[in-house]
Amino acid sequence: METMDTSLDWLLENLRHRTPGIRHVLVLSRDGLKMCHTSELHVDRADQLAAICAGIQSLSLSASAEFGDGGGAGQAMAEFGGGVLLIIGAGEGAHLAVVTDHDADVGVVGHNMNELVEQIGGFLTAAPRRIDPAGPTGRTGGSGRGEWAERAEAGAERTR
Amino acid sequence: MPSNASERRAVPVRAPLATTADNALKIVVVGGFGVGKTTLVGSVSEMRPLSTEEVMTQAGAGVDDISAVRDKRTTTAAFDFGRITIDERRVLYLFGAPGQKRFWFLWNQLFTGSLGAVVLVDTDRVRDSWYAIDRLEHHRTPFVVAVNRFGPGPGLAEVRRALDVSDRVPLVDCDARSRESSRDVLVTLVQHVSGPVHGSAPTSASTPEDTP
Repeated sequence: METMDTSLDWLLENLRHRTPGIRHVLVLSRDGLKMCHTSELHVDRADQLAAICAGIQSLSLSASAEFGDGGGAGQAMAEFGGGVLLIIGAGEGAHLAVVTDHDADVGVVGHNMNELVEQIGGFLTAAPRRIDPAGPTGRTGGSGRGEWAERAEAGAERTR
Repeated sequence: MPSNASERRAVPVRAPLATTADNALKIVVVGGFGVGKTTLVGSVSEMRPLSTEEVMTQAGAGVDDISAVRDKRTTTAAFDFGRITIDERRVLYLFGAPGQKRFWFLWNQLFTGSLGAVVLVDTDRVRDSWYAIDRLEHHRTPFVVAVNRFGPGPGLAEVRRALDVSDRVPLVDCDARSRESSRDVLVTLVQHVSGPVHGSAPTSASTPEDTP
């Protein structure tokens, strides 16, 4: 999986093991893709959690723009039966998310999450997408377009 | 709450909700990745649209195919929200769904309570719309199909065949960047689901498709 940077996984494992109640730890990009996560979190679940967290953080950012100073999302917390989800900003373009048991001490969890970001936030980044200038030019080329053009012309023939 | 000032800052509505409006319709805008859903909600909304656009990152290389939308830099991570008054009494609340597969789980919530949908189609990537149409047919949600014209392409009859939708489903052309054109699409949808709209017959969008 290209989006995974496994070199940081052990730091996430470390956070999980030293903080009571943490079930999963995940780093995700702001556009909703997993970057790295703890090993017990199945990849499919990691994909799901990444998308959920990106949506929450994106809505939080809108809330900040509409009702705050627009400075962006600090942290988000969702509490539900059986657990708590905490998300904080990591490095540029990335977020750190944690799922805990329902009885975890959220203060401790948040503190340890912030500590991790302070230590290694510079490595938890997702750079903006590079556009390959040498790549195909999309709309102006491609076989699909040609095929459609032919069929459209054929259609026009029929209507004339 | 320290924020009278910031609340004032945050409320420059383009048009206030008419006091005569008593019929709210929830509408979803769906379609493939990069087809123009955010653009449509943004161009047509009479209030400042809620947009949850996020910069696309390197993590998406190999996941989000931008080969057909090379100018695209951001993508919707939750949903778009806007509002438009269609006539004296009817006001539409628009929810733009995110396009990528990883956000499809959100569609259930967005579809809940919706009275109709707009499916946006890019004729270069017709198959990207199939999932949306399948979902709508499954939910029995009435919908219209709007072809967001990026340039010359197949006629509407061709598109209808490619999408395999029934003749009862309205199919129109639009330019999602244009407020009038996007509004025409919504008027077509409203007429499809809840009867005629007086005084604002859609213009270009309702041009009947050429039949072969």
